[in-house]
Amino acid sequence: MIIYLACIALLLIGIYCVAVKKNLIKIIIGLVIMEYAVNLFLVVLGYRRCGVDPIVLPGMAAKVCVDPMLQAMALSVIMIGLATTLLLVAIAMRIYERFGTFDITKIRNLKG
Amino acid sequence: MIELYLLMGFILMAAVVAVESHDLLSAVVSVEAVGLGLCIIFLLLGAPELAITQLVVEILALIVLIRATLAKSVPETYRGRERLAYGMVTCFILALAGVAYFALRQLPAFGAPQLRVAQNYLDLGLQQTGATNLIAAVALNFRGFDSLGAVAAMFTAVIGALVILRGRGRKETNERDELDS
Amino acid sequence: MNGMSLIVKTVTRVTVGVIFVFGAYIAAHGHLTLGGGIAGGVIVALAYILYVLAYGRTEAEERLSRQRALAIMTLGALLFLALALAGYRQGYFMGNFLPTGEPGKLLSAGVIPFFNLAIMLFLGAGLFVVFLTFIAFRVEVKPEPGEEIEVGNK
Repeated sequence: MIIYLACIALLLIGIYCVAVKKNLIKIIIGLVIMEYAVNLFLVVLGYRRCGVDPIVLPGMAAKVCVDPMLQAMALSVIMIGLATTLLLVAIAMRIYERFGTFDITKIRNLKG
Repeated sequence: MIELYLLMGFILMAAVVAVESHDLLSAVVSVEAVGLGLCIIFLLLGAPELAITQLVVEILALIVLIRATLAKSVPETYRGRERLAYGMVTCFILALAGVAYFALRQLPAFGAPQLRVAQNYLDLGLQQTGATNLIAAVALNFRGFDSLGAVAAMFTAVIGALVILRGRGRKETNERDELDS
Repeated sequence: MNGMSLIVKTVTRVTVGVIFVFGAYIAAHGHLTLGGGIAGGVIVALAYILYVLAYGRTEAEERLSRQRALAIMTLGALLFLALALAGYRQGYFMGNFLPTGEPGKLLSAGVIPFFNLAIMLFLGAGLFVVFLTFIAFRVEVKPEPGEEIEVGNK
């Protein structure tokens, strides 16, 4: 139960960073923290207390492994998170080139 | 499992440092510390393949993030906080935490998952696919659409980054970007 | 973009091939042990990125030009799609139509090692092209006269 609350706490730190901060790079950092929190939550959900890694060695029964389905999902989520970060940083660099600042309150006031 | 809780505490402290740091470079390095702690937690929770993938993907994200901040290392700008917006966000976060607490009590206890679908994959994985790595068998055979979606998202991101960063900035026009020709 | 000193170049010349082979090994054994296409592809891309950082962008582009890397990336994505569509021989999308083989051998598990190969090609070339684009984007922004960026404590 404590570990679930810790995952939600990490997610809330990310949400706070996205909602309050004014620097574009800080907002991207908040999104990265939220993505880490989601991956952690997926893996924590699938943990079995005496489980081993889901690699079947010869001569071992594959019944006491941890959950492989959630880990396969988390693998795709990691790749999609990398894609999101790449695109966000590209947009941030273009915004800096056009407006000269990362501050989101100034982006509205300046003309391109 | 005491090391798991210690590492969770370290991750939370590193995340707070990343959010509240004044310098952008320190914030990026703290986010990478969160990622590295997460990699060790994946090892402790029995997910070594995720640990490898998380490590290398995070190194790539670090390279890209530092490229965005290093050449333009402007410290974070302040203007004074708007009290109302700050208070509303804090209230929303506290309300979300309360609702999450009541929702998390319905989950099965940590260490005893239900595994209704995954037990089928564990029993039949080896004989139906012939792959010893059950995560690869699940991700590419039983649940292939997730990998297809991930490849599609990555493709879109690569093409999108190429299109957004095409062309030249405000510098002399005799240095053209090679992709333009 | 310039390269680095002679020591870095010599060490890179020794290690970049090892890193590339390591990434290909992790991607090729994805159905037997840990790793898979995603980790292998990113490690191959990191080998190329190391070459760019040590030798400079122009010399690295002579080894693998941008157009060729884009071609390899789309080849990987098309290979993934072709393998998924060829699964209709089994009856459904992404079916496993190759024989299963004996578990533990390199050529087993049907079509899964080829999926890993396709993802490795796709990620290795794609992330290299993205990195080249990021470092080629140089900009000089002059702030407007009379406009200053506020820096200060809260």
